[in-house]
Amino acid sequence: MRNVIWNLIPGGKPDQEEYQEKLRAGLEYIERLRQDETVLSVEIEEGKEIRITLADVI
Amino acid sequence: MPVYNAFFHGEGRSQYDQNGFDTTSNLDVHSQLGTSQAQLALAVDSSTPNEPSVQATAADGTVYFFSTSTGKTWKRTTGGTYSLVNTNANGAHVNAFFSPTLNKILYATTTKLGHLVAATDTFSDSFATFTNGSSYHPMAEVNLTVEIGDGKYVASVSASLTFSANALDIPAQYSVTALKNERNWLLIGTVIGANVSQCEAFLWDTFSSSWTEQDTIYEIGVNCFIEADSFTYAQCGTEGNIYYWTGNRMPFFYQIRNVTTSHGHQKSGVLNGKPLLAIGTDIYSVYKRQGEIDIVVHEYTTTTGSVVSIGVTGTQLLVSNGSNVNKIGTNRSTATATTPRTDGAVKTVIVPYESLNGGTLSLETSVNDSGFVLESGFINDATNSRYILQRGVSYAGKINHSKSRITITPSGANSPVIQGINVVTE
Repeated sequence: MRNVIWNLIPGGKPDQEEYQEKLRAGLEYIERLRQDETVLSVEIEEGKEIRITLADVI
Repeated sequence: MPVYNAFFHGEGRSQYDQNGFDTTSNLDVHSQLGTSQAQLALAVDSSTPNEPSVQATAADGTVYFFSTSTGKTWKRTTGGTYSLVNTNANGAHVNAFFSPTLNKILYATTTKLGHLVAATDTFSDSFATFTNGSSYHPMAEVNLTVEIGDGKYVASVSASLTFSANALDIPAQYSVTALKNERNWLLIGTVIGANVSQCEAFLWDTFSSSWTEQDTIYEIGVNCFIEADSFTYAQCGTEGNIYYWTGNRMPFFYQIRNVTTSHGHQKSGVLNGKPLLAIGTDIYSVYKRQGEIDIVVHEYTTTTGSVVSIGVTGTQLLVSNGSNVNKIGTNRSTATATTPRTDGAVKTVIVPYESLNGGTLSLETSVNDSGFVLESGFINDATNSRYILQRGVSYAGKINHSKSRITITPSGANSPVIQGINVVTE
């Protein structure tokens, strides 16, 4: 298994718009991963990060 | 009578700067301070890789060359034997980096990050996926983590091999072009675009949610950082300009004149403590052997082609030039040193030498910027250990100013050692 992290913490001061943008970009990134990877799990920790587990590459 | 013997000042700030030399090529000014001689020449180490390659040296000194035009990877053993060991299904490589923390070589294509266990030649081409698919993937290790540029993001790989796709983001118009560990902070160089004459350097502690310092550089991008003993330099823009990092600012340091510079992940390196910078076919040192200010000297020239990457294994320099791999050979190269502009009518030129070591010297002069002409009257006065131009320069008209260029022609592994260039004016 491989662990991937998508950071949701806004840079600088907390900013809801930036947070939502990071969340949207993270979900897009996961969709891209699904095109050529086996995504085993996705866990969103609100306000911090998305933790993604990928199957090992054979 | 100007006496140009401060070889340890390197190339001057301009052709008028009397403290340095107008130009140098293949010149060794560091081995014996106060003298100069021809530098050891680059020679072909191997005819493969015959493709432009970036490189990374593993913990045991094995060097891997990753083609930047295809997915091929070659291995060079410490004995100097090359072999093709992998073909990356993700295509051409962008960069490669050895991480002491991971004890792995990380290598990047535009879209994928791979890792290599050197001891077993085990390649994992698709270890991680970049978000932005940038053509720049600079890498640096900071605080036991490998940081990797990916467009507006800095991605990272932790010691436990967790990949963070966006450990840091910078404003969207910037792409990360260069990274360097700056005393356990991450120094980030960027570009906006080829037609935008300003970029930014950021400093990040790698833990906080955003960067701490930033400074604007009015150049078309940071091409590479140059690791030096007590400084971090940055080669920026297209005209040979070098800046240095003060801790929170990036002021101008020096311009290597009459060159065209561009981005390269591995156009700088450190050989035996000497920082090197590759520009086209030439490799310059930015280095001081003694004194306070680093100097710039052109020391090496490739056997063919422009430098794609420079790397070091042990005390040996390895240069990928697109056609083969060069290393420092045992023979000396032909070297030149050109004086700055000397005002007045040049009467004679005298070059005292310590020893010729079987080699020869020759002189060209350029009077009133009319172009360099070989002076056949420049002969060896062996009794006085000097070469001297006996009949005056060949230029027929009124002489307002001139430059003198000495060519040091070695004999195999041995080079003449010269002590200065004395230009006698009327």
